[in-house]
Amino acid sequence: MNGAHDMGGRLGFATVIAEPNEPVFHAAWEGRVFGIAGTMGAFDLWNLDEDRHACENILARDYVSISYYEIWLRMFEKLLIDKGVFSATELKDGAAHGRAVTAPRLGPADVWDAQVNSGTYERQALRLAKFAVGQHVRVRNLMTSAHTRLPGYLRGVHGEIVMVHGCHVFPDSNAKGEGENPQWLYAVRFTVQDVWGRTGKDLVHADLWEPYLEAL
Amino acid sequence: MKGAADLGGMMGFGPINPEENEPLFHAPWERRVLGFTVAMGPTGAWTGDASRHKREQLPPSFYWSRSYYEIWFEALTQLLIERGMLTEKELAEGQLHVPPAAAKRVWKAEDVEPWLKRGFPYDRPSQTAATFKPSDLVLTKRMATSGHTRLPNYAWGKRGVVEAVRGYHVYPDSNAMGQGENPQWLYTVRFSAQELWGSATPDSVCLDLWEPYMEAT
Repeated sequence: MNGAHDMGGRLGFATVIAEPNEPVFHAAWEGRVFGIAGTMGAFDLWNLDEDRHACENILARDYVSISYYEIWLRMFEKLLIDKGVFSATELKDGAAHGRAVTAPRLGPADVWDAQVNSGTYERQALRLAKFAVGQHVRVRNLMTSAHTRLPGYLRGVHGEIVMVHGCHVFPDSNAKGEGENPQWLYAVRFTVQDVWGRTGKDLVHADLWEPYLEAL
Repeated sequence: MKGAADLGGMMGFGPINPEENEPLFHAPWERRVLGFTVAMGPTGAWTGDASRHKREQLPPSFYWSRSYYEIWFEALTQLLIERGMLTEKELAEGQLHVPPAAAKRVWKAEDVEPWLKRGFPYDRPSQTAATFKPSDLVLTKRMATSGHTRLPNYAWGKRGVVEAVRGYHVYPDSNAMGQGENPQWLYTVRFSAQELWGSATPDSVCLDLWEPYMEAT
């Protein structure tokens, strides 16, 4: 979707100020939110692409005003309510009212495994790749309110296939709960001239799934 | 510039809730902000395009969470401070600390109505022939500029048909940046929803675009 997260090329955010010796977490609650992320993986209530889409759906004015882990927390609250794990009232009260959801219990020893072995998104190819390295393609003009990994600034732009990554879970389907629907994934190279109308030798590379592309 | 103001096609803002019998102003201060902004016009301190550019440079976190006149007021005070007509201290205290700067022209109360009725035409005598005519096919440029432009991002690199030639008009991209009026031919160009959004509906969008935004195709 063409939401606040799709920032490529958007101006007006002022200077990025790098923090020297930036800590992994700026407050203890950030560590807990990160922990919730790991724990929720074990519940298997949603997939990575669904949680990305829930982040994208946070109101634009909030998305650009709150911190990274605040976005995560907002996303977890929404998904956990949507999936019926707790209610908005329970979240507000900090107490369970009625039913509890049974969940697998992760011991400290299981956490590392759950984090590290989160699995691969590569799948067995069921058909041949449509494009080959060196081929010129055009990015389709796809406008959707659903999840996509195609950034807005590449819509309609011409590029060149530089690598074939294999067949991967298609986030656009997976985020909607429509199954993994694996598709060929390519690294595509674009010139700054084609993307931004700028002169110069700079290039942009993006990993794009086959349904985003058409032959030139 | 593709800033917070360039919203065409963006999603995630939630529903629009139109207000019934919406008043012109929601509080007396809004009326004053409109008054301040209009009153700065005749002083010649900046152009209307420069004040649009100032507004579009506000950070998205500000622009997307404030009301219309809050945005106007923020841009107005930034311009006044930048041009040395107001200091931060004066703004905070509501007291004059620096003698007022000379203004090219200041409206008296009796000037306001006739000037506003007369309007502020932006068309100029043409100095060149128009490159395009109605029915010509054009391709817009990709305008990734940090300066001001009236070409919205969603219409970069799109094919359209010239619908009308609107005359020779002040070029906002130059005028906003203090580079003079640099007038250019202005056209109405029609784009299909298919071309803009990849949409299968028969809708179309008309945009008023200056000649430097496009080339023949």
